[in-house]
Amino acid sequence: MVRDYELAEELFQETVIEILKSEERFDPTRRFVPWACGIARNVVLQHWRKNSKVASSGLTDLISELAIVASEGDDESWRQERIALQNCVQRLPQKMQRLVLLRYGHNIKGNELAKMSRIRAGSIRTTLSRLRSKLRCCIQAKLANSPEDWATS
Amino acid sequence: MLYSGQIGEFTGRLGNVMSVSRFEELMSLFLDDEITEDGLAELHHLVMSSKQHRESFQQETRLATLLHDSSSEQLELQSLIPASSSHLPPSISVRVIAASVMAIAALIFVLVGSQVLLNRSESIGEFVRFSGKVEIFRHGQVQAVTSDSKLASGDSIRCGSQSQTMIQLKDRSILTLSPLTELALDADQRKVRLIKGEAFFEIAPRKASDQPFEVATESSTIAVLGTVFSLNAGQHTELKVYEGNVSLTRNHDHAQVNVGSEQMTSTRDLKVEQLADPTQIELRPTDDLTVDRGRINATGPRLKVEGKNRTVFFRFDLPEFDDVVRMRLRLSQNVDAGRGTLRFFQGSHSVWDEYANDPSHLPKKAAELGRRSGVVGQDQTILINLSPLDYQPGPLTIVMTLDETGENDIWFGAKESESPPLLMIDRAPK
Repeated sequence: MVRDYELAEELFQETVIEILKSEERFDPTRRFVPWACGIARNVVLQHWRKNSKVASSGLTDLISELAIVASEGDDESWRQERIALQNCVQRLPQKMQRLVLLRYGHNIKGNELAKMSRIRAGSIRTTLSRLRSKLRCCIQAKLANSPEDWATS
Repeated sequence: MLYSGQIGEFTGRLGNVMSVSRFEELMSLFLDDEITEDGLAELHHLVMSSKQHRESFQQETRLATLLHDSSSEQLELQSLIPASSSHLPPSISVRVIAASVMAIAALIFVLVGSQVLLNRSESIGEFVRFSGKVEIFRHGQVQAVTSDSKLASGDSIRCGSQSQTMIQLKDRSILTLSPLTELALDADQRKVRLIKGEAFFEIAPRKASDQPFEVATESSTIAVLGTVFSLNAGQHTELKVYEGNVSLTRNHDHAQVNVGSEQMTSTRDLKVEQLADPTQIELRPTDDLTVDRGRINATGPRLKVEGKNRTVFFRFDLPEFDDVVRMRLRLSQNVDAGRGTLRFFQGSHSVWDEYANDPSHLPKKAAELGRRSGVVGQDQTILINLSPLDYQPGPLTIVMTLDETGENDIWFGAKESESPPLLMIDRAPK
Protein backbone atom coordinates (compact mmCIF):
# COMPACT_ATOMS: atom_id res chain seq x y z
CA MET A 1 0.00 0.00 0.00
CA VAL A 2 1.12 3.56 -0.71
CA ARG A 3 2.36 5.35 2.40
CA ASP A 4 -0.76 7.47 2.20
CA TYR A 5 -0.77 8.44 5.86
CA GLU A 6 1.92 10.98 4.99
CA LEU A 7 -0.89 13.10 3.60
CA ALA A 8 -3.01 12.85 6.72
CA GLU A 9 -2.52 16.39 7.98
CA GLU A 10 -2.97 18.05 4.57
CA LEU A 11 -6.02 16.01 3.80
CA PHE A 12 -7.40 16.73 7.24
CA GLN A 13 -6.99 20.49 6.64
CA GLU A 14 -8.70 20.24 3.26
CA THR A 15 -11.61 18.38 4.83
CA VAL A 16 -12.05 20.82 7.70
CA ILE A 17 -12.00 23.78 5.30
CA GLU A 18 -14.54 22.06 3.05
CA ILE A 19 -16.90 21.52 5.98
CA LEU A 20 -16.47 25.13 7.12
CA LYS A 21 -17.00 26.52 3.63
CA SER A 22 -20.26 24.73 3.05
CA GLU A 23 -23.28 26.98 3.22
CA GLU A 24 -25.27 24.17 4.80
CA ARG A 25 -23.17 24.55 7.91
CA PHE A 26 -25.55 27.39 8.68
CA ASP A 27 -28.67 25.28 8.18
CA PRO A 28 -30.08 24.68 11.69
CA THR A 29 -32.55 22.10 10.43
CA ARG A 30 -29.81 19.62 9.60
CA ARG A 31 -27.93 17.58 12.15
CA PHE A 32 -24.28 18.52 12.02
CA VAL A 33 -22.49 15.22 12.45
CA PRO A 34 -24.20 13.01 9.82
CA TRP A 35 -24.07 15.84 7.31
CA ALA A 36 -20.41 16.68 8.03
CA CYS A 37 -19.58 13.00 7.85
CA GLY A 38 -20.89 12.89 4.27
CA ILE A 39 -18.78 15.87 3.24
CA ALA A 40 -15.67 14.59 5.00
CA ARG A 41 -15.81 11.15 3.39
CA ASN A 42 -16.39 12.72 -0.02
CA VAL A 43 -13.37 14.97 0.26
CA VAL A 44 -11.12 12.18 1.46
CA LEU A 45 -12.27 9.66 -1.13
CA GLN A 46 -12.13 12.18 -3.96
CA HIS A 47 -8.58 13.00 -2.98
CA TRP A 48 -7.40 9.43 -3.27
CA ARG A 49 -9.36 8.87 -6.46
CA LYS A 50 -7.76 11.96 -7.99
CA ASN A 51 -4.32 10.75 -7.03
CA SER A 52 -5.02 7.20 -8.22
CA LYS A 53 -4.15 5.81 -4.83
CA VAL A 54 -6.11 3.34 -2.81
CA ALA A 55 -6.44 4.28 0.80
CA SER A 56 -7.45 1.81 3.44
CA SER A 57 -11.05 2.44 4.41
CA GLY A 58 -9.89 2.55 8.03
CA LEU A 59 -7.66 5.51 7.29
CA THR A 60 -10.43 7.34 5.41
CA ASP A 61 -12.71 6.92 8.40
CA LEU A 62 -10.08 8.07 10.88
CA ILE A 63 -9.36 11.28 8.97
CA SER A 64 -13.05 11.96 8.34
CA GLU A 65 -14.00 11.52 11.99
CA LEU A 66 -11.12 13.66 13.24
CA ALA A 67 -12.03 16.39 10.73
CA ILE A 68 -15.60 16.41 12.03
CA VAL A 69 -14.40 16.77 15.63
CA ALA A 70 -12.16 19.65 14.55
CA SER A 71 -14.97 21.45 12.69
CA GLU A 72 -17.28 21.46 15.68
CA GLY A 73 -17.83 24.73 17.46
CA ASP A 74 -19.88 27.71 16.49
CA ASP A 75 -18.88 30.22 13.84
CA GLU A 76 -18.52 32.93 16.42
CA SER A 77 -15.66 31.06 18.15
CA TRP A 78 -13.91 30.55 14.80
CA ARG A 79 -14.37 34.21 13.98
CA GLN A 80 -13.04 35.43 17.33
CA GLU A 81 -10.03 33.14 17.23
CA ARG A 82 -9.24 34.12 13.67
CA ILE A 83 -9.15 37.82 14.52
CA ALA A 84 -7.11 37.18 17.67
CA LEU A 85 -4.68 34.96 15.77
CA GLN A 86 -3.95 37.60 13.13
CA ASN A 87 -3.17 40.04 15.88
CA CYS A 88 -0.96 37.52 17.72
CA VAL A 89 0.99 36.56 14.58
CA GLN A 90 1.73 40.19 13.82
CA ARG A 91 3.33 40.52 17.25
CA LEU A 92 5.74 37.65 16.68
CA PRO A 93 9.39 38.40 15.85
CA GLN A 94 10.10 38.59 12.11
CA LYS A 95 11.89 35.25 12.11
CA MET A 96 8.88 33.50 13.64
CA GLN A 97 6.47 35.27 11.25
CA ARG A 98 8.58 33.95 8.39
CA LEU A 99 8.47 30.47 9.88
CA VAL A 100 4.65 30.66 10.07
CA LEU A 101 4.46 31.77 6.44
CA LEU A 102 6.81 29.04 5.22
CA ARG A 103 5.17 26.26 7.21
CA TYR A 104 1.52 27.19 6.87
CA GLY A 105 1.42 29.38 3.76
CA HIS A 106 3.91 27.54 1.55
CA ASN A 107 3.32 24.23 3.32
CA ILE A 108 7.03 23.49 3.61
CA LYS A 109 8.01 20.89 6.16
CA GLY A 110 10.84 18.97 7.79
CA ASN A 111 14.45 19.58 6.79
CA GLU A 112 13.50 21.92 3.98
CA LEU A 113 11.62 24.10 6.46
CA ALA A 114 14.57 24.02 8.87
CA LYS A 115 16.95 25.07 6.12
CA MET A 116 14.78 27.90 4.86
CA SER A 117 13.94 29.25 8.28
CA ARG A 118 17.56 28.86 9.45
CA ILE A 119 16.58 26.69 12.40
CA ARG A 120 18.50 23.56 13.31
CA ALA A 121 16.80 20.54 11.75
CA GLY A 122 16.71 18.71 15.08
CA SER A 123 14.78 21.46 16.81
CA ILE A 124 12.30 22.47 14.13
CA ARG A 125 9.45 20.39 15.57
CA THR A 126 10.04 21.74 19.08
CA THR A 127 10.20 25.30 17.73
CA LEU A 128 6.90 24.85 15.89
CA SER A 129 5.31 23.26 18.94
CA ARG A 130 6.43 26.16 21.16
CA LEU A 131 5.28 28.65 18.56
CA ARG A 132 1.80 27.09 18.47
CA SER A 133 1.70 27.02 22.23
CA LYS A 134 2.65 30.69 22.41
CA LEU A 135 -0.01 31.59 19.86
CA ARG A 136 -2.60 29.56 21.74
CA CYS A 137 -1.80 31.40 24.98
CA CYS A 138 -1.92 34.75 23.17
CA ILE A 139 -5.32 33.92 21.63
CA GLN A 140 -6.71 32.76 24.97
CA ALA A 141 -5.45 35.90 26.68
CA LYS A 142 -7.02 38.11 24.05
CA LEU A 143 -10.35 36.30 24.19
CA ALA A 144 -10.37 36.36 27.99
CA ASN A 145 -9.47 40.04 28.28
CA SER A 146 -12.01 41.68 26.03
CA PRO A 147 -14.82 39.37 25.01
CA GLU A 148 -17.19 42.29 24.43
CA ASP A 149 -14.79 43.94 22.02
CA TRP A 150 -14.42 40.81 19.96
CA ALA A 151 -18.15 40.28 19.84
CA THR A 152 -18.84 43.70 18.44
CA SER A 153 -15.75 44.48 16.38
CA MET B 1 2.13 3.01 52.90
CA LEU B 2 -0.40 3.32 50.15
CA TYR B 3 -3.81 1.74 50.48
CA SER B 4 -5.27 -0.03 47.49
CA GLY B 5 -7.66 2.89 46.83
CA GLN B 6 -4.76 5.32 46.89
CA ILE B 7 -2.71 3.03 44.65
CA GLY B 8 -5.56 2.94 42.18
CA GLU B 9 -5.85 6.70 42.26
CA PHE B 10 -2.09 7.10 41.91
CA THR B 11 -1.81 4.71 38.95
CA GLY B 12 -4.86 6.37 37.39
CA ARG B 13 -3.20 9.76 37.66
CA LEU B 14 0.07 8.32 36.36
CA GLY B 15 -1.78 6.78 33.43
CA ASN B 16 -3.44 10.09 32.79
CA VAL B 17 -0.12 11.95 32.82
CA MET B 18 1.38 9.37 30.47
CA SER B 19 -1.55 9.58 28.07
CA VAL B 20 -1.35 13.39 28.10
CA SER B 21 2.33 13.23 27.24
CA ARG B 22 1.70 10.61 24.52
CA PHE B 23 -1.22 12.66 23.26
CA GLU B 24 1.00 15.74 22.95
CA GLU B 25 3.60 13.72 21.08
CA LEU B 26 0.99 12.35 18.67
CA MET B 27 -0.53 15.80 18.16
CA SER B 28 2.86 17.22 17.32
CA LEU B 29 3.54 14.42 14.82
CA PHE B 30 0.09 14.87 13.30
CA LEU B 31 0.44 18.64 12.93
CA ASP B 32 3.86 18.24 11.33
CA ASP B 33 2.53 15.56 8.95
CA GLU B 34 4.89 12.96 10.33
CA ILE B 35 2.38 10.64 11.95
CA THR B 36 2.17 6.99 10.92
CA GLU B 37 -1.06 5.14 10.28
CA ASP B 38 -0.75 3.39 13.64
CA GLY B 39 -0.09 6.75 15.29
CA LEU B 40 -3.17 8.22 13.63
CA ALA B 41 -5.27 5.34 14.91
CA GLU B 42 -3.89 5.88 18.43
CA LEU B 43 -4.60 9.61 18.25
CA HIS B 44 -8.12 8.89 17.02
CA HIS B 45 -8.66 6.55 19.98
CA LEU B 46 -7.43 9.14 22.50
CA VAL B 47 -9.58 11.90 20.97
CA MET B 48 -12.71 9.77 20.88
CA SER B 49 -12.28 8.35 24.39
CA SER B 50 -11.40 11.43 26.44
CA LYS B 51 -13.21 14.73 26.71
CA GLN B 52 -9.96 16.45 27.70
CA HIS B 53 -8.10 15.12 24.66
CA ARG B 54 -11.01 15.95 22.41
CA GLU B 55 -10.95 19.57 23.56
CA SER B 56 -7.17 19.78 23.21
CA PHE B 57 -7.40 18.27 19.74
CA GLN B 58 -10.02 20.85 18.75
CA GLN B 59 -7.90 23.72 20.08
CA GLU B 60 -4.74 22.51 18.35
CA THR B 61 -6.32 21.73 15.00
CA ARG B 62 -8.40 24.90 14.98
CA LEU B 63 -5.19 26.89 15.45
CA ALA B 64 -3.47 24.94 12.65
CA THR B 65 -6.46 25.42 10.31
CA LEU B 66 -6.56 29.14 11.01
CA LEU B 67 -2.79 29.40 10.53
CA HIS B 68 -3.04 27.63 7.17
CA ASP B 69 -5.97 29.80 6.20
CA SER B 70 -4.56 33.18 7.15
CA SER B 71 -1.04 32.40 5.84
CA SER B 72 -2.42 31.22 2.49
CA GLU B 73 -4.54 34.33 2.32
CA GLN B 74 -1.49 36.48 3.00
CA LEU B 75 0.33 34.79 0.13
CA GLU B 76 -2.66 35.24 -2.15
CA LEU B 77 -2.69 38.91 -1.34
CA GLN B 78 1.05 39.23 -1.94
CA SER B 79 0.59 37.63 -5.34
CA LEU B 80 -2.28 39.93 -6.32
CA ILE B 81 -0.33 43.16 -6.38
CA PRO B 82 2.50 42.16 -8.72
CA ALA B 83 0.02 40.28 -10.92
CA SER B 84 -2.13 43.33 -11.52
CA SER B 85 0.80 45.57 -12.34
CA SER B 86 3.07 43.13 -14.17
CA HIS B 87 3.12 42.63 -17.89
CA LEU B 88 1.54 39.21 -17.63
CA PRO B 89 -1.28 39.08 -20.13
CA PRO B 90 -4.56 39.99 -18.41
CA SER B 91 -6.28 37.15 -20.22
CA ILE B 92 -4.20 34.77 -18.16
CA SER B 93 -3.78 36.66 -14.94
CA VAL B 94 -7.30 37.92 -14.56
CA ARG B 95 -8.72 34.47 -14.00
CA VAL B 96 -6.15 33.79 -11.36
CA ILE B 97 -6.75 37.15 -9.73
CA ALA B 98 -10.52 36.90 -9.89
CA ALA B 99 -10.45 33.32 -8.60
CA SER B 100 -8.15 34.31 -5.76
CA VAL B 101 -10.28 37.27 -4.84
CA MET B 102 -13.43 35.17 -4.91
CA ALA B 103 -11.84 32.35 -2.95
CA ILE B 104 -10.54 34.72 -0.31
CA ALA B 105 -13.86 36.51 -0.13
CA ALA B 106 -15.75 33.22 0.19
CA LEU B 107 -13.51 31.92 2.93
CA ILE B 108 -13.51 35.17 4.81
CA PHE B 109 -17.27 35.27 4.55
CA VAL B 110 -17.59 31.82 6.02
CA LEU B 111 -14.97 32.12 8.70
CA VAL B 112 -15.72 35.64 9.76
CA GLY B 113 -19.47 35.26 9.56
CA SER B 114 -21.62 37.35 7.28
CA GLN B 115 -23.74 38.90 9.96
CA VAL B 116 -20.69 40.09 11.82
CA LEU B 117 -19.44 42.07 8.87
CA LEU B 118 -22.57 44.13 8.83
CA ASN B 119 -23.63 44.39 12.41
CA ARG B 120 -22.13 47.81 13.01
CA SER B 121 -24.20 50.38 11.23
CA GLU B 122 -21.39 52.96 11.14
CA SER B 123 -18.97 50.57 9.48
CA ILE B 124 -19.01 50.56 5.69
CA GLY B 125 -16.30 47.98 5.23
CA GLU B 126 -13.29 46.34 6.74
CA PHE B 127 -9.72 45.34 6.11
CA VAL B 128 -9.55 41.78 4.83
CA ARG B 129 -5.75 41.87 4.85
CA PHE B 130 -2.97 44.35 5.17
CA SER B 131 0.78 44.20 5.25
CA GLY B 132 3.33 46.85 6.14
CA LYS B 133 2.31 50.32 7.22
CA VAL B 134 -1.26 51.13 6.24
CA GLU B 135 -2.91 54.23 7.70
CA ILE B 136 -6.44 55.60 8.00
CA PHE B 137 -7.09 59.34 7.96
CA ARG B 138 -10.28 60.05 9.87
CA HIS B 139 -11.49 63.47 11.03
CA GLY B 140 -7.99 64.90 10.69
CA GLN B 141 -6.42 62.12 12.75
CA VAL B 142 -4.06 59.46 11.47
CA GLN B 143 -4.24 55.94 12.83
CA ALA B 144 -2.38 52.79 11.90
CA VAL B 145 -4.57 49.98 10.64
CA THR B 146 -4.87 46.99 12.98
CA SER B 147 -6.56 43.65 12.42
CA ASP B 148 -9.82 44.93 13.90
CA SER B 149 -9.90 48.33 12.15
CA LYS B 150 -13.19 49.19 10.45
CA LEU B 151 -13.89 51.63 7.66
CA ALA B 152 -16.22 54.58 7.98
CA SER B 153 -17.61 57.08 5.47
CA GLY B 154 -15.09 59.79 4.65
CA ASP B 155 -12.03 57.70 5.61
CA SER B 156 -8.88 57.87 3.52
CA ILE B 157 -6.59 54.86 3.34
CA ARG B 158 -2.91 55.25 2.54
CA CYS B 159 -0.39 52.48 1.79
CA GLY B 160 3.32 53.16 2.30
CA SER B 161 6.06 52.14 -0.10
CA GLN B 162 6.28 48.62 1.34
CA SER B 163 2.63 48.09 2.16
CA GLN B 164 -0.56 46.90 0.55
CA THR B 165 -4.06 46.13 1.65
CA MET B 166 -7.30 44.49 0.61
CA ILE B 167 -10.59 45.96 1.80
CA GLN B 168 -14.13 44.72 1.50
CA LEU B 169 -17.00 47.16 1.32
CA LYS B 170 -20.43 46.56 2.73
CA ASP B 171 -21.80 45.60 -0.70
CA ARG B 172 -19.07 42.88 -0.94
CA SER B 173 -16.99 44.79 -3.49
CA ILE B 174 -13.29 44.12 -2.97
CA LEU B 175 -10.61 46.76 -3.45
CA THR B 176 -6.91 45.93 -3.43
CA LEU B 177 -4.51 48.82 -2.97
CA SER B 178 -0.90 48.64 -4.19
CA PRO B 179 2.05 50.28 -2.43
CA LEU B 180 2.07 54.11 -2.51
CA THR B 181 -1.65 54.26 -3.13
CA GLU B 182 -4.18 56.53 -1.46
CA LEU B 183 -7.92 56.06 -1.68
CA ALA B 184 -10.78 57.98 -0.05
CA LEU B 185 -14.23 56.63 0.78
CA ASP B 186 -17.01 59.05 -0.01
CA ALA B 187 -19.88 59.68 2.37
CA ASP B 188 -22.00 58.12 -0.36
CA GLN B 189 -21.07 54.46 -0.01
CA ARG B 190 -21.10 53.78 -3.74
CA LYS B 191 -18.30 56.25 -4.45
CA VAL B 192 -14.56 56.16 -3.84
CA ARG B 193 -11.77 58.49 -4.88
CA LEU B 194 -8.40 57.15 -6.03
CA ILE B 195 -6.13 60.00 -5.03
CA LYS B 196 -2.92 58.40 -6.26
CA GLY B 197 -1.38 55.04 -7.06
CA GLU B 198 -2.83 51.81 -8.37
CA ALA B 199 -5.83 49.82 -7.20
CA PHE B 200 -7.57 46.68 -8.37
CA PHE B 201 -11.37 46.68 -8.14
CA GLU B 202 -13.78 43.81 -8.10
CA ILE B 203 -17.14 45.53 -7.92
CA ALA B 204 -20.09 43.43 -6.78
CA PRO B 205 -22.75 43.06 -9.49
CA ARG B 206 -25.54 45.64 -9.47
CA LYS B 207 -28.95 45.65 -11.08
CA ALA B 208 -29.39 47.89 -14.11
CA SER B 209 -31.84 49.95 -12.05
CA ASP B 210 -29.23 50.53 -9.30
CA GLN B 211 -26.93 53.52 -9.20
CA PRO B 212 -23.52 52.57 -10.64
CA PHE B 213 -20.46 52.36 -8.44
CA GLU B 214 -18.20 55.34 -9.11
CA VAL B 215 -14.47 55.78 -8.85
CA ALA B 216 -13.12 59.29 -9.24
CA THR B 217 -9.53 60.25 -9.98
CA GLU B 218 -8.09 63.71 -10.47
CA SER B 219 -8.60 63.46 -14.21
CA SER B 220 -11.61 61.16 -14.64
CA THR B 221 -14.73 59.53 -13.26
CA ILE B 222 -15.42 55.83 -13.80
CA ALA B 223 -18.91 54.36 -13.51
CA VAL B 224 -19.48 50.60 -13.25
CA LEU B 225 -22.32 48.19 -12.61
CA GLY B 226 -20.21 45.25 -11.48
CA THR B 227 -16.93 44.30 -13.03
CA VAL B 228 -13.22 43.67 -12.54
CA PHE B 229 -10.74 46.38 -13.43
CA SER B 230 -7.61 48.21 -12.36
CA LEU B 231 -6.88 51.91 -12.26
CA ASN B 232 -3.59 53.72 -12.11
CA ALA B 233 -3.95 57.36 -11.11
CA GLY B 234 -0.90 59.39 -12.06
CA GLN B 235 -0.69 62.40 -14.31
CA HIS B 236 -3.19 60.55 -16.48
CA THR B 237 -5.56 57.82 -15.38
CA GLU B 238 -4.96 54.42 -16.93
CA LEU B 239 -7.89 52.02 -16.92
CA LYS B 240 -7.66 48.29 -17.66
CA VAL B 241 -10.91 46.33 -17.76
CA TYR B 242 -10.69 42.57 -17.26
CA GLU B 243 -14.39 41.73 -17.07
CA GLY B 244 -17.58 43.68 -17.77
CA ASN B 245 -17.96 47.22 -19.06
CA VAL B 246 -16.75 50.50 -17.65
CA SER B 247 -17.65 54.02 -18.65
CA LEU B 248 -14.84 56.59 -18.20
CA THR B 249 -15.49 60.34 -18.31
CA ARG B 250 -12.55 62.72 -18.62
CA ASN B 251 -13.09 65.55 -16.14
CA HIS B 252 -11.70 68.57 -18.00
CA ASP B 253 -13.77 68.19 -21.20
CA HIS B 254 -16.43 65.64 -20.12
CA ALA B 255 -15.45 63.40 -23.05
CA GLN B 256 -16.71 59.88 -22.39
CA VAL B 257 -15.57 56.48 -23.56
CA ASN B 258 -16.90 52.96 -22.92
CA VAL B 259 -14.26 50.33 -22.25
CA GLY B 260 -15.19 46.66 -22.54
CA SER B 261 -13.75 43.41 -21.31
CA GLU B 262 -10.02 42.91 -22.08
CA GLN B 263 -9.65 46.54 -23.14
CA MET B 264 -7.72 49.50 -21.79
CA THR B 265 -7.65 53.26 -22.16
CA SER B 266 -5.95 56.35 -20.78
CA THR B 267 -7.23 59.88 -20.13
CA ARG B 268 -4.27 61.04 -22.23
CA ASP B 269 -6.08 60.26 -25.49
CA LEU B 270 -9.14 58.12 -24.57
CA LYS B 271 -8.02 55.64 -27.20
CA VAL B 272 -9.45 52.18 -26.48
CA GLU B 273 -7.00 49.33 -27.09
CA GLN B 274 -6.99 45.59 -26.60
CA LEU B 275 -5.16 44.50 -23.47
CA ALA B 276 -3.45 41.60 -25.18
CA ASP B 277 -1.19 42.13 -28.13
CA PRO B 278 -2.23 39.52 -30.75
CA THR B 279 1.33 39.33 -32.09
CA GLN B 280 2.55 38.12 -28.70
CA ILE B 281 1.46 34.69 -27.51
CA GLU B 282 2.21 33.36 -24.08
CA LEU B 283 2.03 29.62 -23.50
CA ARG B 284 1.96 27.77 -20.23
CA PRO B 285 3.62 24.37 -20.16
CA THR B 286 1.37 21.35 -20.52
CA ASP B 287 3.68 19.52 -18.10
CA ASP B 288 6.53 20.45 -15.80
CA LEU B 289 8.42 18.57 -13.12
CA THR B 290 11.58 18.43 -11.06
CA VAL B 291 13.79 15.37 -10.93
CA ASP B 292 15.12 15.63 -7.39
CA ARG B 293 17.98 13.27 -6.54
CA GLY B 294 16.64 10.66 -8.95
CA ARG B 295 13.02 10.99 -7.85
CA ILE B 296 10.28 12.69 -9.87
CA ASN B 297 8.43 15.50 -8.15
CA ALA B 298 5.59 16.71 -10.34
CA THR B 299 3.22 18.06 -7.73
CA GLY B 300 3.42 21.31 -5.87
CA PRO B 301 3.77 24.88 -6.96
CA ARG B 302 7.56 25.02 -7.34
CA LEU B 303 10.27 23.85 -9.72
CA LYS B 304 13.70 23.47 -8.14
CA VAL B 305 17.03 23.50 -9.91
CA GLU B 306 20.33 22.69 -8.21
CA GLY B 307 23.70 21.38 -9.44
CA LYS B 308 23.62 17.69 -10.16
CA ASN B 309 20.79 17.10 -7.69
CA ARG B 310 17.81 18.77 -9.31
CA THR B 311 16.89 19.20 -12.97
CA VAL B 312 13.70 20.75 -14.31
CA PHE B 313 11.72 19.62 -17.35
CA PHE B 314 9.12 21.71 -19.22
CA ARG B 315 6.90 20.49 -22.02
CA PHE B 316 5.04 22.94 -24.27
CA ASP B 317 2.66 22.37 -27.18
CA LEU B 318 3.62 24.85 -29.88
CA PRO B 319 0.75 26.04 -32.09
CA GLU B 320 0.73 25.99 -35.90
CA PHE B 321 2.43 29.32 -36.65
CA ASP B 322 4.64 30.00 -39.64
CA ASP B 323 5.61 33.58 -38.78
CA VAL B 324 7.40 33.24 -35.42
CA VAL B 325 10.29 35.66 -35.05
CA ARG B 326 11.32 35.10 -31.44
CA MET B 327 10.79 32.75 -28.51
CA ARG B 328 11.64 33.48 -24.90
CA LEU B 329 11.16 31.52 -21.71
CA ARG B 330 9.95 33.54 -18.77
CA LEU B 331 10.48 32.16 -15.23
CA SER B 332 9.57 33.72 -11.89
CA GLN B 333 11.58 33.04 -8.77
CA ASN B 334 9.51 31.53 -6.00
CA VAL B 335 10.56 31.32 -2.30
CA ASP B 336 14.24 30.41 -2.69
CA ALA B 337 16.64 32.79 -4.44
CA GLY B 338 20.10 31.72 -5.63
CA ARG B 339 22.85 32.22 -8.16
CA GLY B 340 24.80 30.42 -10.84
CA THR B 341 24.59 29.64 -14.53
CA LEU B 342 21.24 28.35 -15.66
CA ARG B 343 21.43 26.36 -18.90
CA PHE B 344 18.54 25.44 -21.13
CA PHE B 345 18.59 22.48 -23.50
CA GLN B 346 16.16 21.12 -26.02
CA GLY B 347 14.94 17.69 -24.88
CA SER B 348 15.83 14.66 -27.00
CA HIS B 349 12.10 13.81 -27.26
CA SER B 350 8.75 14.97 -25.88
CA VAL B 351 7.06 11.65 -25.24
CA TRP B 352 6.54 12.16 -21.52
CA ASP B 353 4.16 13.83 -19.12
CA GLU B 354 4.26 14.82 -15.48
CA TYR B 355 2.67 11.54 -14.42
CA ALA B 356 5.86 9.77 -15.47
CA ASN B 357 7.28 7.64 -12.70
CA ASP B 358 10.58 6.52 -14.17
CA PRO B 359 13.16 9.31 -14.58
CA SER B 360 15.17 7.18 -17.03
CA HIS B 361 12.34 7.58 -19.59
CA LEU B 362 12.56 11.38 -19.52
CA PRO B 363 14.27 13.17 -22.44
CA LYS B 364 18.04 13.65 -22.40
CA LYS B 365 19.72 17.01 -22.96
CA ALA B 366 20.25 17.80 -26.65
CA ALA B 367 21.19 21.14 -28.25
CA GLU B 368 21.73 24.06 -25.89
CA LEU B 369 19.11 26.76 -26.40
CA GLY B 370 20.30 29.45 -24.04
CA ARG B 371 21.94 30.26 -20.74
CA ARG B 372 21.86 32.91 -18.04
CA SER B 373 24.44 33.64 -15.37
CA GLY B 374 24.17 35.63 -12.15
CA VAL B 375 21.86 36.08 -9.21
CA VAL B 376 18.15 35.32 -9.33
CA GLY B 377 16.78 37.46 -6.52
CA GLN B 378 13.59 37.45 -4.49
CA ASP B 379 10.49 37.73 -6.72
CA GLN B 380 12.70 38.28 -9.78
CA THR B 381 11.46 37.32 -13.20
CA ILE B 382 14.03 36.19 -15.75
CA LEU B 383 13.67 36.02 -19.51
CA ILE B 384 15.78 33.61 -21.55
CA ASN B 385 16.07 34.12 -25.26
CA LEU B 386 15.57 30.84 -27.11
CA SER B 387 16.24 32.26 -30.57
CA PRO B 388 18.56 29.51 -31.80
CA LEU B 389 15.65 27.15 -31.81
CA ASP B 390 13.94 26.58 -35.13
CA TYR B 391 10.26 26.89 -34.47
CA GLN B 392 8.51 23.57 -35.06
CA PRO B 393 4.79 23.24 -34.25
CA GLY B 394 4.05 20.39 -31.87
CA PRO B 395 5.49 19.34 -28.52
CA LEU B 396 8.75 20.85 -27.28
CA THR B 397 10.71 19.82 -24.20
CA ILE B 398 13.10 22.21 -22.46
CA VAL B 399 15.51 20.91 -19.80
CA MET B 400 16.90 23.39 -17.26
CA THR B 401 20.06 22.86 -15.19
CA LEU B 402 22.15 24.94 -12.77
CA ASP B 403 25.88 24.65 -12.21
CA GLU B 404 25.76 25.68 -8.54
CA THR B 405 24.69 23.50 -5.66
CA GLY B 406 23.77 23.72 -1.95
CA GLU B 407 22.61 27.14 -0.78
CA ASN B 408 22.60 28.49 -4.34
CA ASP B 409 19.70 26.35 -5.54
CA ILE B 410 16.91 28.34 -7.20
CA TRP B 411 13.18 27.73 -7.08
CA PHE B 412 10.76 28.94 -9.72
CA GLY B 413 6.97 28.95 -9.91
CA ALA B 414 5.53 25.79 -11.51
CA LYS B 415 2.54 25.79 -13.82
CA GLU B 416 0.23 25.29 -10.83
CA SER B 417 1.55 28.45 -9.15
CA GLU B 418 0.49 32.08 -9.38
CA SER B 419 3.63 32.81 -11.38
CA PRO B 420 3.89 29.97 -13.90
CA PRO B 421 6.61 29.46 -16.50
CA LEU B 422 5.61 31.10 -19.79
CA LEU B 423 6.92 30.55 -23.28
CA MET B 424 6.62 33.93 -25.00
CA ILE B 425 6.23 33.67 -28.74
CA ASP B 426 6.55 36.80 -30.89
CA ARG B 427 4.97 36.64 -34.34
CA ALA B 428 5.71 38.97 -37.21
CA PRO B 429 3.35 41.99 -37.25
CA LYS B 430 0.68 41.79 -39.97
